[in-house]
Amino acid sequence: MRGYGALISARFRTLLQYRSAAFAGFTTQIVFGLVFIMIFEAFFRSSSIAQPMARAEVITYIWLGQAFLSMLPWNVDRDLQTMVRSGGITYELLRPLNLYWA
Amino acid sequence: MSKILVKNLVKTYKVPERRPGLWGAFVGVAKRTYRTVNALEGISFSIDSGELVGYIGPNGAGKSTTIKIISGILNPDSGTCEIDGLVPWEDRIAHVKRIGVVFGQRTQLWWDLPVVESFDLLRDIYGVDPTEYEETKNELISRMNIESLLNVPVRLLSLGQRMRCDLVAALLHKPSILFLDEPTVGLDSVSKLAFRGFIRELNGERGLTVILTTHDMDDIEALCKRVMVIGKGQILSDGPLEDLRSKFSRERLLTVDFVEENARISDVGARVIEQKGHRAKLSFDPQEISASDLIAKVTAQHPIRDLFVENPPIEEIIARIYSENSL
Repeated sequence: MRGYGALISARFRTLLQYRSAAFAGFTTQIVFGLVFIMIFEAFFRSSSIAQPMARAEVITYIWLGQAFLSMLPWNVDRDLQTMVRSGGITYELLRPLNLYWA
Repeated sequence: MSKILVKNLVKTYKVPERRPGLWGAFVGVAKRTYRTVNALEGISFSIDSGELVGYIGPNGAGKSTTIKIISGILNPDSGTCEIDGLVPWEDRIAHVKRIGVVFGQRTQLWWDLPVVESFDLLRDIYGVDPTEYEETKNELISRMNIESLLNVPVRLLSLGQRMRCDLVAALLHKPSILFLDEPTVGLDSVSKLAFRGFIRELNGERGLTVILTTHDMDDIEALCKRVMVIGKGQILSDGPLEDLRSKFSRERLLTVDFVEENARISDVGARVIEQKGHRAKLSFDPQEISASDLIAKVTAQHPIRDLFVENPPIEEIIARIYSENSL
């Protein structure tokens, strides 16, 4: 299990290597988070019926969504895509790990 | 008991083919035709513990396919392979923990991370005991002289530096078998010599079993006692380098520098293959005429300044094997 944890941490450090990209990504996520909150805020203010989710919950949900955005399946890791295209992905089988954490 | 035992490995690839042009592309979507490529047609060999074996063959002969199968990342169509009692593609995880692999064409380090972080990552992936890891790491780092590179991201390393780091990375988990796939491609002479020296040391002192594929015959001559030649998916020759030499060519070369220009040599029992200015090159078979007899005959005809006898380059012998088998 140590291996998987180390891989995740390495990935994180890799992303931090490119400082301006990391900073730009961070800013984008914050700005979009604020935009989403503003939209929901407008809904909450203009609606008179009770909502199924409290405002505080919605805001928490939005920030969690922004924080984990890069784990969404449509954000496929570029490096991984290149590896699949070139076939280099097979060499990952040289590591003593399974594809899934089991 | 042999360390690596391979019997009758067969692997065929199915390569999709399509007719040219736009229409061909459409047809290809509906109906695809395949061409089969026989990468391996029954490869068998066995390698003992502590051997250093050269595995050579022209491009597309099946070298990489073999390496991929015995390192556990490719399933063969048929045939068996047992390495230290394990079948690589069935017990992949247990198997890859015991082997180290270096590919000259690609790195197994993380491109954007400093070298030392890649090493630490490998420690966690291979589950190496931390104290043991520190020991191995420090030893390898000082042996390969990479102290100054440890905090540099891999993408900023030169090829020679990267290869040294890659070799260290492949040895951190103390494998007992090392696969080297064209490790010296693109290295400068100094790096090449250092690399060979280290491989020899690993094999000699630590008894590591090494399989080396390369196109650089100097690597083979410098390192390998045993050479396997593969062509068209079959083993063409397997044995000591010297056997290979004598089997395919007993020829020796004598190069003579005469005092006078264009000296005529006749009836010495050797073939003149090149003559230019003061220098002549003679080819002879040591079973027909001994080197000393030949030299005596030549010096009797003309005064000479210098001479030397050499083996034909291994490169030529290999090229001859390839062309005899029409590869």
